[in-house]
This record gives sequence, structure tokens and C-alpha cells, in this order.
Amino acid sequence: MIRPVGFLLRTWLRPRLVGRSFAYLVVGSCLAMLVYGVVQSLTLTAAQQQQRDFGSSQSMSYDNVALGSLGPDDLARTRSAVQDGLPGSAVFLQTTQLRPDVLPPNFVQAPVDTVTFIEGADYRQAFGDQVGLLRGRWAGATGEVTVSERILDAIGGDDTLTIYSGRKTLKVVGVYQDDFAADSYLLFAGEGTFESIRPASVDKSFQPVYAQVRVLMPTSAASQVDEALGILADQLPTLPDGQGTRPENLSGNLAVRGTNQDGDSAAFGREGDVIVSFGPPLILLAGAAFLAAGQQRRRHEEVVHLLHRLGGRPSRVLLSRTASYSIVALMSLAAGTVVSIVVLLFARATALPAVAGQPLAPLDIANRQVAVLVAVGALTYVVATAAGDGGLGPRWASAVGSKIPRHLIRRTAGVLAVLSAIRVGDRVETALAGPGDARYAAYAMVAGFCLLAPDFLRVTMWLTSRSSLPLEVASRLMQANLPRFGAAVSLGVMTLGIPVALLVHLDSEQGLTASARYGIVPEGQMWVQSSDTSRDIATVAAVIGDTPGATEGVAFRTLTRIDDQGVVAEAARFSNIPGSGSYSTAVLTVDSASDLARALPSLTRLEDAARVLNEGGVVDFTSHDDDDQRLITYGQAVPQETETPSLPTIQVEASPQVQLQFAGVLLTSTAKGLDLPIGPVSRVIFPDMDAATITSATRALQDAGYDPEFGQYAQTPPEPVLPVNAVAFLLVMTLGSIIILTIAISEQARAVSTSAKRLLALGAPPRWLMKLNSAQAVQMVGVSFTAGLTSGLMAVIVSSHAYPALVIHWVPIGAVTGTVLVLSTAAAGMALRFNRVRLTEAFLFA
Amino acid sequence: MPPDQEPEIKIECSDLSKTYRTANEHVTALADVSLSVTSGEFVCIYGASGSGKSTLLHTIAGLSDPDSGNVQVDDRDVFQLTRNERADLRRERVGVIFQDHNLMAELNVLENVALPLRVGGTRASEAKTLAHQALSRLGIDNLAVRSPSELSGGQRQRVGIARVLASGQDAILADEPTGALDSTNSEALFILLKALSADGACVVVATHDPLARQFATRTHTMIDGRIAMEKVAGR
Ligand SMILES: Nc1ncnc2c1ncn2[C@@H]1O[C@H](COP(=O)(O)OP(=O)(O)O)[C@@H](O)[C@H]1O
Ligand SMILES: [Mg+2]
Repeated sequence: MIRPVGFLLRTWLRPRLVGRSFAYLVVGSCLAMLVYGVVQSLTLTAAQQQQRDFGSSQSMSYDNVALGSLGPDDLARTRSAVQDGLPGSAVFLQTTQLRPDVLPPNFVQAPVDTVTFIEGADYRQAFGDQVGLLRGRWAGATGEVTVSERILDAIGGDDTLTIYSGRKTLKVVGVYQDDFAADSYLLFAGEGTFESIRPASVDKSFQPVYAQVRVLMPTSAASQVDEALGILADQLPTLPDGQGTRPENLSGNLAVRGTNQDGDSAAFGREGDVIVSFGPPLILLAGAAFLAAGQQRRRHEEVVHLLHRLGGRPSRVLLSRTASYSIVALMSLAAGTVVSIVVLLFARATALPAVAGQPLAPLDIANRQVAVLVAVGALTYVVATAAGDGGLGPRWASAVGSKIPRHLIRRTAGVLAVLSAIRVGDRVETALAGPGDARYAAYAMVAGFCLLAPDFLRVTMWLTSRSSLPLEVASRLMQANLPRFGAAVSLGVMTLGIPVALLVHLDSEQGLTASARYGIVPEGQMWVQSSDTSRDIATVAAVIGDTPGATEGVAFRTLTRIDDQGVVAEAARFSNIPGSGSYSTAVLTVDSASDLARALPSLTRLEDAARVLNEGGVVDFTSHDDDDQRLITYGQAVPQETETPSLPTIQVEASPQVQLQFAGVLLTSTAKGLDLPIGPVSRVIFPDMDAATITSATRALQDAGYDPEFGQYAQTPPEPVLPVNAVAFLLVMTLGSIIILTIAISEQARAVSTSAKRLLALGAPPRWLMKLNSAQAVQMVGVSFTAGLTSGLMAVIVSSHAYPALVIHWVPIGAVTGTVLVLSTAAAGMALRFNRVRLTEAFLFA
Repeated sequence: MPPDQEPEIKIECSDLSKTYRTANEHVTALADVSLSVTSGEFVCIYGASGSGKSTLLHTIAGLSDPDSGNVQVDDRDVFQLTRNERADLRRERVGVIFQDHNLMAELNVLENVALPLRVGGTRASEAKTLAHQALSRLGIDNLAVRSPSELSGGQRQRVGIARVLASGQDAILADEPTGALDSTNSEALFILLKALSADGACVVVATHDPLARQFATRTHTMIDGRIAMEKVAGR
């Protein structure tokens, strides 16, 4: 038994039978691993992130203190106590809540660019070599600051800067090199500076200003964290009511830090920050594996047929064949992985550091994601090969595939993928589930198109075949090889669909982040709102309302309740909205329908909305198709839900910015009648404010002693900048797909050259074959291209509701599309050059 | 078009030599072969397997280049022609019945037979009629819509022959046309080829079927790439 199987195995493993498949799998796995490895290299691990945020990687502990609550000697006393207990440690204060008032509004209203203040004699020790002085000197005395060049630019090169809170002016005494905090604005202040700043009184500040006391300990003192906590808790002033105790806070902070550090170091494909996903490399590898299988399936079936006829026992033939698949899969995937590691190491030694602008993350090959990649590649290949072409050889040789209606399965899966993409991408679902699900919808759409691609090709061939003989013959040749050509076309779809979908998602995700901060207030309006609902919005609004030229404000209340601890919490929402997502669940009340029309003129069907509101109904922004809404009221601790009867409801289209903040509106009188919990005024909207009025209103707020952040107005978001790992992901992914597509097309085309030889022998002239060749190339590339682009656009459309606005950069999309078109046409053209087919003598025995 | 309206054809090979060079040996497939055939002739080339028969026929049809020597069809040097012109030549003047049938697996029998006509620009309906006629002459019209993989070896061979019949070239180069046929069918085929040559076609048959001898106007024997013997029929 062993010996014949060994012999058969060697037969199967002949390079002629498996060489191509092997090459495919090597290329496919190498590319998928490269995508993974490059992205991973460029994604900071939790520890690296921490080091970047806090300078040294020493153990660290911290706690909040309200600015102004520290006494004159508190920091110095805490420092000496800590340093007595933990020699070599550094103690300093840090806050991101102080802002120079000359900075542009994006530092203030939309704090995308946060300014970090670090205060204390110890900061130099803590940051060590990571910051270098460029000119001037380090801040030493109270009220002095040393700034980065970026801050110096932002404040216009001035030698003073004024802080909003407390209107304190600080003196710039030096400039340091700011490579260290490339994406934040860091400045160092002399000891005692924070204490000298008296922030606006709590009721007049937009939010309470906190600083953190940080203790950096030498790594050797890691075990003494508890001790450090004890000292901090003893020395720092006690916390205000309702904020717990210091020891609790400290150990809570420590726990958070611990989880961060233990967190999955490979951030590849992790939900959240970067929208790179595991899906595309999986599709890439699966595609390559499928093609690999296609390369040998038919030939293997012929060999099975032959061996069977020569007396090979089915069990042995099949056993050896299956074993050969597994060997090929394992060896090629291992080879691909090794090659990718070598390439990666080389890239990490040369090109990647320059791109990264940050330390590279350690290369982590032995983890679950790599295992999943390898497993999917191997499984796809083995199953696809074993499934057989059917029709050739004895029935048992393709037992797995012969009876299964494979086209039916493929089509069903494709249609289901498209339908589920539409369903998941459906407005309400996505609005609540956020961009995560939208992304799945997008990939499902692309995958669905990939699965249906062979049918698109079939239909195209059917439609075109009648127009000329070359087209007819071309169609017949391709039809007979439909699985192969279909696979190539599927790859083409993937090559275009994924980058287009990804690009739009990446940009829109960035756009979402930006608009969540910038796009809150429509152009020409001024909104008074507070991050803390307990502020008295009404008095702030009065200051703005008194500004000459200001319009009359429209006040909105929320359905909220104040709990025992004085915290305002949402207490009622629409019945058909499940948990929270990136869009709001807040239902507002407004005093009259005309107020709503004035405050939010961009809403559709305003007249009908007014009628419904006056009838005691609700205006619904969620675009839920369901019938009339009800409102659920719930208690604080226990969910004692009560439900109103259904109310007349009108669906109104609101801008995504509005959707981000409100789910709907009803009249305050209606809410009262229904006994709903009505909170204090949470927003006052001043419509039709011109720029000059907005400026003077802002000044009026400042003069009245308020944080000007109370009065918000429209900001133009900056152009989104993609994180470097996302860009790398996109690039490697796209290049990888293009490579696979190019190989696939030329490979499939080569399969047709046998037919070319036959035709030539019958007297079909090369120029005629050229026509046939072009017809095939045009059909293949054309269908891939059209379906690919369509799938990308459909993917974008079904998921578009996840974003307030789609950010589409046409240049990179055009570049990808152009590259795919040029390369695939070239590949198809080169491979199909029938006129150059050399009639070798091998033909005689073909 | 009936063959008798076709112009005469004259094929002349002179000093054809061809050596295949493989990794460890040189095989002489043709050695100074000269041969001349014209319309109305039925030339039979005998020879053991591997003696160079197929190489000779393929060279005449312009499918394989000789190392030296030339082939002239009606005083035109085949190897001076462009590849397009050589293809036209095969389609219009010198038809080949291939040893391996050379059928397109993707097309059915009828389409295979009609293919050269269609490539030559014949209208689809007319090509179809001619193809049906050719299939009927070989008694396999009932197989018209089958695919080549559903045929026996002998049936496939007859499809290859029908294709040449339908195209109606002036010269027919048949490479072991009866290799897969039983004796009854072989005889029928030779009768058919003989009739074609009587009508003015020029027929060259490479074979080792002794039956062919009865129909040949001339026989040659090939040994190791050499035309060794010529025997004119008539005994
Ligand atoms: N492509 C080739 N490579 C090497 N040798 C070949 C090739 N084609 C044919 N031969 C050799 O040339 C000789 C003549 O072949 P062929 O013309 O097919 O003979 P026949 O048709 O008489 O059987 C044989 O010895 C064969 O092995
Ligand atoms: Mg032969």
C-alpha cells in the first residue's frame, strides 16, 4: 500500500502538474503576508503608543486634580515625598485643557489639534533625550514656557501666549525640536505656572479644567507602583464630592494602563482607530488559491482518468492526490511566508522607517491572524482542487464536485452577499451600528460581485457573440473555459472594487472624525451648547442674544432627567431604536413648529412637519420606515420602561450632521401632555447669524467672563490625512491584487493558445486570430473593469449612510482604475498574441 | 464548388531536410526529400512509424519549417509567404487531414466542419449546408450536434475528413486517415479520396494501411526521413 501510494504521490507532485499552482500560492500568500506585515510594522503597539505619549517607557501613575485646586506648595511637596519613597522618579503636571487664545478655532472649538502643557522641574528628566533645545532656554520660572516650532508657528511667532482660562499671559523663552510629538502640540512650562492660572469659575467655563499629576518611575521600580499610589493619595488634595476617592481613582488608572499594555499588540484589522480590515487580504489569498486550484484541476482529473484505466485503485489514487494537494499547499504557503518575511525585513531595513516617521512595531509572525490567513489559503486551494472540473474522468474522481450544483451555490452566495450588503447598508441599521457594519456591507457587496462575475461574463459573451465570427468563436472558447475566465474576471472585480471601497471608506472615516468635531453647527448659525448638560445654557444664550445683530435664539430641551448624583441622563427615546451607535438617540423638544423651521431650515417637508407637530406628533430624523413612533421612558437604575401610545410620525430627511446629534423632535407641550421627562434647555440655536455678528458675540461671551467655547459656529474641516498604516494597507493591497490579476489574465489567456494552434493549422490566418484575441481581451478586461468599478461604487453607495458625508478623492481612485485598466489590458494583450504563437514541432504531437 | 471547376494544382518539394534536435540526440525526420504531385494524382506514402511522414505533410502545408529545401505550390514558394498567406493557402488550396484530428473541443461537430469556411468568409447558412453535405458523404450527419469528446476515435477521424471535404481544397494531405477506422470504413474512405482525385484533386496519403495501395497512382516509401522507393501504379 505504502509503496504504490509513494509512487503515485511522486507522480502527482511533478512540476508540470503542480508547478503553476505552487507559484500562485507562493505569490498569493506572500502578498497577503506582506499586507499584514507592512501594516503591522507601521501600527504602533500599545507599549509604543504609551512611550510616545509619555516619553519614557517607565512605569507611570497619575491622577486628576482640578486646576486651581492645588495649593502653592502641593506639587513640590508631593514631588519630594514621592522621590523620597521612589528615588529616580519624576513628578510633573500635564493637561490638554489649557489653550492659547490666539490659536485658530480648531484648537478650541474642535480640539483636533490638542495642546499639551507639561509643567514641573522634572519634565526634563522625564523626557530626557527625546526633546532637544533649538534656541532660547528651557522654561524654569513660573509663567515661562518653551514651545515647539509648530506652536510657535500657530501663535504667529509671538513671544507671549495668552491662555483662555483665567486670561493668563505666559512668556515664551525657548523653542525645542518637536519630532517627539509629531501629531500633538506640546509645550513645557516652568514650575508653578498651573497654580498661577485661576480658571474661569466653574459655571462660566465650558468644562472643568483638569490636570494630571504624573509620576514616572524607573523601570526597576515597577513593583513599587502601589507605594507610589499611596504617596500620591496622601499628598494630593482630596477630590470633590461625587468623584470617588484618590486610592480608587489611582488603582482604576493603573488597571486601565495595564489593559492598554496587555492589549493586542498587533493592531492589524482591529476595529476602531484605523479602518484596515482583515477581509481584503483574505479575499486576495482566497482568490490566489482558487486560481492555483484551477491551474491543475483539469490536468489532475486527466491523470486520475488515466491511472484508473491503467488499473490504479481509486482509494490509492485519491489518497495520493489529496496528499499531494496538502503538500503543495503547505510547502507553497510556507515558501510564501518565508519570502514575505525576507522582503519585509529588507523593507524594514531600508524603505519603511522613512515612510513611518515613527518606530516600527515589532514583527509578529506567529499569531492568530497569520494562522487564519494560512488556513484559509490552504483550505480554499485543497477544497477547490478536490472539487474537480466534473465531466472528466470517472465519477468518483471528482466525487466532491460532480453532484453539487456548483454554479447554483456560487450564484446563490453571490446574490445573498449583494442582498445582505444592501440590507446591512440600509440607512437605519447603519446609522445606528456605525461605520464598522457599513464596511462589512461594502465588502459583502464586492464579494457578491466577485461571485457573480462569471455570469456577467457569460451574459456579455451571449450578447456579443452574434455580431461577428471572431467574437462568436472567442465566446465559445471562453465559455468552454468559463470557470477559469470567470475566476480571472472575479479577481478583476476584486482588484478594483476593494481599493475603491477602501479609499472612500478611509477618507470618509477621517471625514467623520473631522465632522464630528467641525461639522456640528451649520454655516451661518451659532449654537450654544455645553459638553456638560448641567451648565445653565440659558444665561449664556442671553449674552449672545444681547449682541447687536443677533437673531432670536431657538431653545431645545432634551428628554432627560437628573439623577441622584446630579448627573443629567437621557430618559426617553424612540421605541424602535436599539442601542446607541455613532448617530444620536436624543429626542428634543421645541416650543413651536415655526421655531423648528427657523432653527433647522435644511429639513425636508417642513410644512407637513409643522402640521404633524401641531397634531401632537413627532418628527423623525432616523429614516426608519416603520409606522408611527412611540416613546419609551426608562428609569435610572432599574429599567422601569413605560411606553407612550404611537404618535403621528413624519419622516423628515435631516443632514447627517443633524442626525449625528438628534433622533427627532416633538413639541414641548406634547411632551408635557405625555408626561415625558423634560430636561433643562440643552441647546440654543441662533439662525441667520452673519460672520461679523458671530465674532462680536464670541467677544461678548469672553468679556462676560465665559469660555468662548460656549458659542459654537461652523468650522471648515481640514483635509483628512490618512494614517500611514492605512495608506500602506491600501497600496500593498492594491498592488497585490493587480499582480494577481495580471498573472491570472495572462495565465487564462495562455490556456487558449492551444486553440490558437489548432485554428492556425486549419487555415485561420494570424490576423483573424488577432481579432479573436482582441475580442477576448476586451471582453475579459471590459467585464472585470465595469463590474469592478460598479461593485466599488455600489459598495460605497450601500455604506454611504454610515458617514455624514462621503469623502471621495478621485485622483487616487482614478490612478488605481487607470493602472488596473492598463496593466490588465497589457497582460491580456501580451498573453493572447496569437500572431506570435510559434508553431513548434511539439504541435505535431499535440 | 465542384472540384472539377477548380484550377489545377501542382506541389513540388525539393531537397527538404529537417533534423529535430533534442537534449541527447539528433533525429533526422527528413533527408533530402524531393516530391512532386499534381491534380488528379493519388500519392501514397508508406513508412514505418517515426519515418517522417507527418513531418513531410506538415512541411508541405507550411506548418513546420524545413532546415533546408523548399516547397512550391503552383510555383509559389511556401516558405516565402507570410504567415497570413500560408494560412490562406491551407484554407483554400492545401487541406490537411490531421493524424490527431485537430478538432476544437469547444465546438460541436457541425461547427468544427464549418469553421474553415466561416473563417474564409462564407456565410453561416451556406457553410452549414456544405458542412452537412460533407458529413452526409461520410455517413455521420447524425452526429452533427455532438461535441468531439462524445465521439469514438473513428468518428472523430471522419469529422476531420469531412472538414476537408467541406472546404473543398485542391490538394488534400491526409495523415494516417484510416488509422482509427475499420476495414469497411477504410475502404470507403479510400474510394472517396480516389473519387476526389479523379475529379481533379491532388491527394497525398501518409499511411501504413496496405489497402491504400490499390487506389494509389503512385506510392513512395519513407525510411528514416528518406524517400526510398517510387512505384508507379498499374502493376
Ligand atoms: N517535436 C519533435 N521533437 C523531436 N523529435 C521529433 C519531433 N517531432 C517528430 N520527431 C521525430 O521525428 C521523427 C519523424 O516523426 P514523424 O514525422 O511524426 O513520423 P511518422 O509520422 O512517420 O510517424 C520521429 O523519429 C520523431 O520521433
Ligand atoms: Mg505520423
